[in-house]
Amino acid sequence: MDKHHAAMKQTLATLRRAALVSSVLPAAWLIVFYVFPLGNIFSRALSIDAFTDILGNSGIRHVLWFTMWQALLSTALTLIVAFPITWACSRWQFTGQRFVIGLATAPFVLPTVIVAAAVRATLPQQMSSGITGILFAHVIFNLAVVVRIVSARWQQAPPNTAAAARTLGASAWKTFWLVTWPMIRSAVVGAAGIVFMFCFTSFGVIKILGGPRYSTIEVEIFTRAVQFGDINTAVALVLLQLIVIAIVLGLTAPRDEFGKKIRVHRQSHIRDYPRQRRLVLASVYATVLFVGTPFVFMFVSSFRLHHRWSINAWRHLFDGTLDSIGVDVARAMSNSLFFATLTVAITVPLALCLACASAYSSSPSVRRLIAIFVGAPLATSAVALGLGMIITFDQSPINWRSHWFLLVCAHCTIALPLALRVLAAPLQSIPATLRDSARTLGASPLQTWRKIDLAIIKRPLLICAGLCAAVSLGEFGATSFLTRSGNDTIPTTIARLLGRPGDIVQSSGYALASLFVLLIVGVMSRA
Amino acid sequence: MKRKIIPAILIASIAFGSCSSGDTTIESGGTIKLLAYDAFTPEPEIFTSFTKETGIDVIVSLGGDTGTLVSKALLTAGTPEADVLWGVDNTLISRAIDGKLFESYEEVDTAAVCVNYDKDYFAKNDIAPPVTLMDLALPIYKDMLVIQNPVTSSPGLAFMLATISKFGVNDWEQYWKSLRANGVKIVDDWTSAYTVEFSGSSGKGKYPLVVSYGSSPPAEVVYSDPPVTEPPTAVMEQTCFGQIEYAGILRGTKKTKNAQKLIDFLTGKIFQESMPLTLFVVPVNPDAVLPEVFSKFAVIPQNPLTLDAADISSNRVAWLDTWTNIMLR
Repeated sequence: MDKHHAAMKQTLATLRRAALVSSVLPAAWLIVFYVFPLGNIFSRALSIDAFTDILGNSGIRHVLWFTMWQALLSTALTLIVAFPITWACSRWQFTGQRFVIGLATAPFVLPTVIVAAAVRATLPQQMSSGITGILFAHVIFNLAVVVRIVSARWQQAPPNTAAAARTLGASAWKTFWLVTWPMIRSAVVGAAGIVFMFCFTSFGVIKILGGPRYSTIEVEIFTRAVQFGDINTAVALVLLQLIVIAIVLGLTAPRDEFGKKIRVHRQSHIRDYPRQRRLVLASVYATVLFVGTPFVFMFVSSFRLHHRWSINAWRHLFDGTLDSIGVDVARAMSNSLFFATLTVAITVPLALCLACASAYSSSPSVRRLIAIFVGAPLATSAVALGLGMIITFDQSPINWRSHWFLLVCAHCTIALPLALRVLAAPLQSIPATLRDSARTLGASPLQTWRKIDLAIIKRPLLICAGLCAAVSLGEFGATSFLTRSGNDTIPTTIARLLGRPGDIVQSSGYALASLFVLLIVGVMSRA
Repeated sequence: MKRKIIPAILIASIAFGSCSSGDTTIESGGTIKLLAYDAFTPEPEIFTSFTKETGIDVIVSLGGDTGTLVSKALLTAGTPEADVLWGVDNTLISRAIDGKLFESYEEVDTAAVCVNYDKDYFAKNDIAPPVTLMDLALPIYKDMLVIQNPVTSSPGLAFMLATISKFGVNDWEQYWKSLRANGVKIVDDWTSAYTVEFSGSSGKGKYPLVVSYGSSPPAEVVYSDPPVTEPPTAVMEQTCFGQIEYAGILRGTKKTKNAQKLIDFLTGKIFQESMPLTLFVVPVNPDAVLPEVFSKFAVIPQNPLTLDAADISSNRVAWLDTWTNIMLR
């Protein structure tokens, strides 16, 4: 017995050691491609007067103000629009529920450029740029955040408390306010914080829908660095933006533990409640309609040319018509696929190393360190990362500014935290007894890991690969900085097409965006 | 931990560094990459004779508007993505020089950015076309002018500089405030302004006045369908800003000799003579003969408005800021 006990202990110790050693690789990766570039931005921003200059610049104050109010308004609207479907899905059960939720939350995995393109195709011409479109796109994109986070919590709220309140004579509104709201409040606040962050750092949406007039800090960073050539102001803006995000996330982060064992209460099936049935279905289908319509419009627009039906926009994607404006769609597609493949090949192993280190480590401080290390890139805007990389890798022997692989490095750094999230939870949830029994039956530590851990996370690994591919395929912010002529990806090409006048070019932009939606849906459904 | 990270970085940098060593090409024949702004539309087969003569294939890649083109090139100065760059103009050349972008550069063409007008519109409505910059702010020309955002467009920038040249650093802001009050329309790029919003060209838009080039009228004749003998548009000569464009060998290219050959070709008679009717710019090569339609209808101002390149370089960002604050906020 003692011998067995020692062997079990040894297995865990071996795994722990192996995980720690292998986590050196992802740690080195993050230091080189995240800490260095961002550190460089900070040291530059702090050593120049630009930081005080930007606060004195009325134009930048205006941008800051716009960024702030549009983010607040977008967040509020997202919460309002998301409420009915969140309520319906948290409290009720109905046929096709998973499918419908999938539809309503799908835009979140799409590139912001595509969501913006869809909104643009929907709005009438004179409104194609402006605040309406921006808000519309932000709501569609972020709806998923609220639905997922809030309904996960709402499902834990015991329904009988609310029922008891109703029985005691409280109105529906009062019941919600006094009973349900206190239970879901922290989830709502947490979701609002994340939505605010996404809207505050909005780039693709503003690039497509903002026109010359509207600019967020994120867009201003790009404009300053790439169009003005004013790097100092750009780095100061990055710092300013990070400060605001840190404050907001600090204020809204949920206080209670995540991943705690929770009890999900059984939802009532609407079939048994004919009175509620209509309301539930109406909330769900109205939301799906709201989210789906722009994509239908985009698809339809790709078949419209000079006010007539035509498939020419699709044909022009590949027949060389767009060469004259420097757009090569076939090249962009092969670039995107190539970058996505590399991103998967690099990120998945890195994430696996980190997930193992976090799962097998006995010390909570290692886990916390990994969580912070990996969460930080999520809170950093992609544009900031792109800028940081450009101003960092500019000296021999790391003069990589004009190399395509820097783009892949950026994609990997952005995908890594998400990939880790997918892998860490299932690895942590493997009960120690499983490994112990394998060990008792005579398996070596490596065998144990292969047959148990790896077998259990096979599906999460696939999901992780799909996610990394989706991140790379859709990435726009960092790519805008790092792309060189001939390296255009699908999102940068769509932005170029939509940024140019002319019916053919615009419709081709919608055609490419539609094609891309199909591609992403294909990748995600495989994963 | 630290001890293991440093070798990892070293290994990574060696691995990545080795990828870049594949660029060394022997300088006979081969290819050469010409990076240009989006509006670079030379005669389709123009480089064929160059390739025949030298064995060098020319790959043209387009890098956005002039401002983006130059800023992005500056971000990678020393490790260029191409060998030759076409299209830095006098509004940006100082920045390119300060940023050590070029190994060498030469003047390739000149142009004039001027307000154009739709002759028909003014004739039909019995209004005299405007003549001076100041006229554009008069109530009679309200809601008639479409311009480009100087942040994203080089003619837009040239027009802004024209107003600074004309009214001076003290009064130009006031001029723009009055333009804004007079309903000027701002779009991102020349193509949107000229071919969509302007009433005198293909888009048949709403605006009879547009910032374009002194050479736009001959372009209207060349591209007209059905053919016309007189351009439907004309130029306000007093609004013209003189533009000079440069092409240069990008510092850091390993193909300097071939790049020089291409520069020689771009400044040579064949290419220079093709420019007026494809790029609508004025050749700098004195041997180049101007086509008749060009010399007849293009306005080539003798004394266009201008500003010192160094002056532009040191004030450009601040001026753009000021302009953006007045016009877009």
